[in-house]
Amino acid sequence: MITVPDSVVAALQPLHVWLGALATLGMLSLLYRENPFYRFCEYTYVGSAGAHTLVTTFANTIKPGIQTQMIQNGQWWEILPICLGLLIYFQPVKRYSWLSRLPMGYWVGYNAGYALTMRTAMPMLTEVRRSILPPIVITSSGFDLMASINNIVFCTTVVLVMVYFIFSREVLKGRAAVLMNVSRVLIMMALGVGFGNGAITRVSLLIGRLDYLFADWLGIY
Amino acid sequence: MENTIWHRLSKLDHRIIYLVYTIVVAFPLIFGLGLPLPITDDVRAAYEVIKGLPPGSIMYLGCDLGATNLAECKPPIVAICKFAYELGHKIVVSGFWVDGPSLAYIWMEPAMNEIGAVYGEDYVNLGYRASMSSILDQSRYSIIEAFSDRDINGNRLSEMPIFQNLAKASEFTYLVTINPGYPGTADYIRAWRSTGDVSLIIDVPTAGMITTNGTHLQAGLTQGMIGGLNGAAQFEALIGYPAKATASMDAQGVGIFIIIAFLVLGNISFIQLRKQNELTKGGS
Repeated sequence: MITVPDSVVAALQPLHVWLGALATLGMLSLLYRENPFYRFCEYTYVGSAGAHTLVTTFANTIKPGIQTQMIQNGQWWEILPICLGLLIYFQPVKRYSWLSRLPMGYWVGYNAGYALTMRTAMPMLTEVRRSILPPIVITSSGFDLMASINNIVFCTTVVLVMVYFIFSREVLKGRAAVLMNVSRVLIMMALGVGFGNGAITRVSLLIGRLDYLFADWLGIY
Repeated sequence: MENTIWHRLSKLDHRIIYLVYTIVVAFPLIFGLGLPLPITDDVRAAYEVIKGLPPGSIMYLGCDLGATNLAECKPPIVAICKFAYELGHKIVVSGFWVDGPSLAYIWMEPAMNEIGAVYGEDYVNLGYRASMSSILDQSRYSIIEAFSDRDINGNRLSEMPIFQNLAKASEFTYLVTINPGYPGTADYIRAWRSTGDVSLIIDVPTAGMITTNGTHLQAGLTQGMIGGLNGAAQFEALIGYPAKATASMDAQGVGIFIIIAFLVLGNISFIQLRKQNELTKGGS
């Protein structure tokens, strides 16, 4: 990472805030209508985000790897995985495109192996085990009504949603079909909660930008 | 028929809705309303876990986030770091979202300088690294090797006092993961919880991830959750440090109320128009 002297950072601070405010207004101007100012801000954002990713990956991952591991620690053989990784750039060359499959195959294999260990199974099994809860909760202070209701709702939902996904409408007919409808309502409620939380995140995004405009830029509060 | 209030509502210019919404959200942001903020069990559990750890504990702070998560992620990062430092904990920051550690660096520096924390001794930022699974896996044997002995600014980790008592992931007392999605909590659980290296995990998701990550908390894979801006505000209240999250909560509350109001109005308008159309058809 390039280190900029503190005095330069302090001197550029007002410009930095103004640029941030103008970019924010530019992005928000889309809400009024499509316009060149919005396009300019959008393309600048995409371009700078791409450049930042490239520079940060090089500075934080590739450079220290070469500098420390290979040059200082003398682990020259680490050039081999780098060469393997570079083979991916043969992909557009028709004659040698098969070489690009080597790093891709290795990477997919590594992740498949990683995923098939107990690392993945343990959280899943824990969640299954913790899905079985007592319907009556007795604590040191006596019967816990709310915890009991929570457990009953939780276990009933788990079972009914499983019923929804395991059995089809052809199997569950007549009165049993009611189970399917109840399960569907429960799934819709859960999805609704997820959607509501997603909406709250969007509200937070707006709050963040308004806070920047009012506090950092205009200094209202 | 065309001039009824419901008809006019259905044809309302969306820009008016945006304008009304912005003004209504801005008002409590500037003036504050002091709406009540109840503390939930999830946030209290996170607070109790951190508070119960002895001085000298080491926190791994996974900042897997982007610039768009500023409003939801900056307040908990600042609050958790301040609280941890006051308790005498050491902080190691990293992340596998390219912007995450850099943003954490920018957000943390003023707060840590203000309370007198020393970089390299009380806290360190390892910076972004590509390939989360392999880095976390290698950290189980040697953090310094996994991060190529370099922090975010290119300084040697092996020369920092914080790394004199910290060699591998199992020496982290607890893990705090701040993330709006993937990679995030599930990946840390797979990498360090499943292997038994780190058993205490505090989850700090954005509001959109609360439902998904709630399953980890329910299963006991994480020990507490500080979810979204609301969770951050609750945490600020618990540690007695009201800051940005607390100030933003009034605006969020009003913002949600306005969305619900618009939803109700939109649906009433839709039902009324449908009734009117049926009446018109029946009449003709």
